[in-house]
Amino acid sequence: MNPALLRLAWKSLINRGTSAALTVLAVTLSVTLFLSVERIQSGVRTSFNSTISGTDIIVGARGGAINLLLYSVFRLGDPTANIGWQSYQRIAGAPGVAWAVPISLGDSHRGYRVVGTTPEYFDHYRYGRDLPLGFAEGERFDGTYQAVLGSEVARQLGYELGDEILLSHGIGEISFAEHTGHDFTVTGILAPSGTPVDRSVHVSLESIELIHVGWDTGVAPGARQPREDSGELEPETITAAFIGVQSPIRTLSLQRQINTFPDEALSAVMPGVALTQLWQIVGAGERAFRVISLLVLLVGLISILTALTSGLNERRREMAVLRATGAKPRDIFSLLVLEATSLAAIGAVIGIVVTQVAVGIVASIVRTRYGMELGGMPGLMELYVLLAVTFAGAAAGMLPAWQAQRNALSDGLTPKL
Amino acid sequence: MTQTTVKVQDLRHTWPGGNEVLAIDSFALEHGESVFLAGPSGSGKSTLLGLIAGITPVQTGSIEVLGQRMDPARPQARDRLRADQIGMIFQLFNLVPYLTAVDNVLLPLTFSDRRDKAAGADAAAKQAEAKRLLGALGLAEETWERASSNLSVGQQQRVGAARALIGSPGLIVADEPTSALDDDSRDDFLNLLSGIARENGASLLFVSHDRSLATRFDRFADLAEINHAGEMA
Repeated sequence: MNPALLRLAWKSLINRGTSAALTVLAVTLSVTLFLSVERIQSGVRTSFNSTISGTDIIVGARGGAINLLLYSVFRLGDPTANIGWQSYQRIAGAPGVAWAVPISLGDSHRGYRVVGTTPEYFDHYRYGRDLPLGFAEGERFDGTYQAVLGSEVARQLGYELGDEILLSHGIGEISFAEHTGHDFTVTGILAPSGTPVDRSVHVSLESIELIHVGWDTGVAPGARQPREDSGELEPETITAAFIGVQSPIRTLSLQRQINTFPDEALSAVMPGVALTQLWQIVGAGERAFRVISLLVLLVGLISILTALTSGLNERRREMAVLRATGAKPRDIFSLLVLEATSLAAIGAVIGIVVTQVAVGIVASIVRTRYGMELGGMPGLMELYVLLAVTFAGAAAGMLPAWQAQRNALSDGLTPKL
Repeated sequence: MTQTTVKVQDLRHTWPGGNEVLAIDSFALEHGESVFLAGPSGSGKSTLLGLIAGITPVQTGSIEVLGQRMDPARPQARDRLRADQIGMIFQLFNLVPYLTAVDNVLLPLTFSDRRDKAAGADAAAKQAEAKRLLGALGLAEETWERASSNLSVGQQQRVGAARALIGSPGLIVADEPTSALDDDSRDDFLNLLSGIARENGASLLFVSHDRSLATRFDRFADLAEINHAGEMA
């Protein structure tokens, strides 16, 4: 192929600036959409899959496995019901159980969820490849009215060790029911883990009990003095429990035991299994998204075809001039294919850059809000998209190119306009 | 050795539908010769030029340009022969609209190695040659880098002529190149075109219906006389 044709193609595109720019824009937008969807999907998967490890069974009130997983681990959605403390204790003491950590949800601090739990939570909660939670500052709580903050909570709200915070009843962003009169002291701040733990406030189960004394009716106890009960602060109920087994072969039988627990309707789920179920459901949506973004990509490529085809008639004279100066029909073909390829390649490159910039802008927000990584530098996927779009652009250009070549052959030196 | 530039023999051409448009027994253009070919529209003029340029394949008979046959079976060879040896000027719309005057002049060099080498050793020399031709054809310097769509018709015709001449092709074919020009610029244009063609040693085939121009050429030919198409056998 004649390299001068590429120069010619570029000059031709620059000359039809507006039309070319709009076509490039269409390709850019479609590539951006496609890449963004891919980025978000893989980000969601990676972050969800690495959120919990080392926990063999999660116990909660009878309900769907995915729902239990979402509210206990991902702090998404609301728990359906609680489980009795007696039941929890019997499960924790069952043979084969290596450890059990209860959690109690339902309160929040300025939109961040509060997790009532035991200090062992910090030993047994693992994420990614069996990584334990680390402390950036301070240490775990060892009494009531002490709080350990996730890294995002501390960073976003600017808390330091020793600061005093109030908890709110309920898990909304804005609460109208503060647990006034119960100041919590920040004793520890966790290192970032990229999991929902970063966005949680951890306190002891006893603290949760204390601040809810007198809330039996579900409303604030008003002017009543909090009961300074030095006695039992044992909770009546908890929301869920994380359980580790002594030996993996015990997992299934333990799960069966819990699911058939005689005194209370309980559910036991294995996090990995529940995640797989989740992906099966989400997968359909993901496929739909991918199909849509592929279709949009197709529309972008069709716009190349449209732009070139619609210009063909007014360019017949130009083609005749090129033929007269010695261009072969194949040169005419190449010229149009090069124009199409250039439009596609430029659109793809800009799309990749735009996606990268957009990801750079929203990455920190997404990390803060959802604990999700959107990925860093462009990688193999971007390269594949660039190549695929460029080749598809070339293919799309072949139709108008073939048309132009045919016109040029039949027109000769005198186009019929 | 002087070579016949164009040699047409026993040419017959019929368009689809069966109308014979050309029947030329013999027509030749000698080396360095300039010929005025009178041809009203509808006389088969465009068809003849398409055949000589190698864009339309010859059906019957033969056409040779500088000793090489315009072989109907080898379109690539015809394209190459045209690129190397023929400079064409049309009545109107000679230029690629998105190229500057200079880039339009340089265009044939991208399709012909022979003319590319003949025009200059490097890019700068070729540019200089293009500008020399534009200057010689009377185009003011400020128009050289202008997009050709911003040139007047007269200026466009001059750029077209410069493009036909660059790289010294052996044959210049001009198809009514002056019919869009007023009288003054027409005379001017004709003088320059034939002058430079002579300097380059190129043959000039000038086709027009305006017989008043014929005196400026070495020879006059009337297509209506050469072409026997449609006459009773």
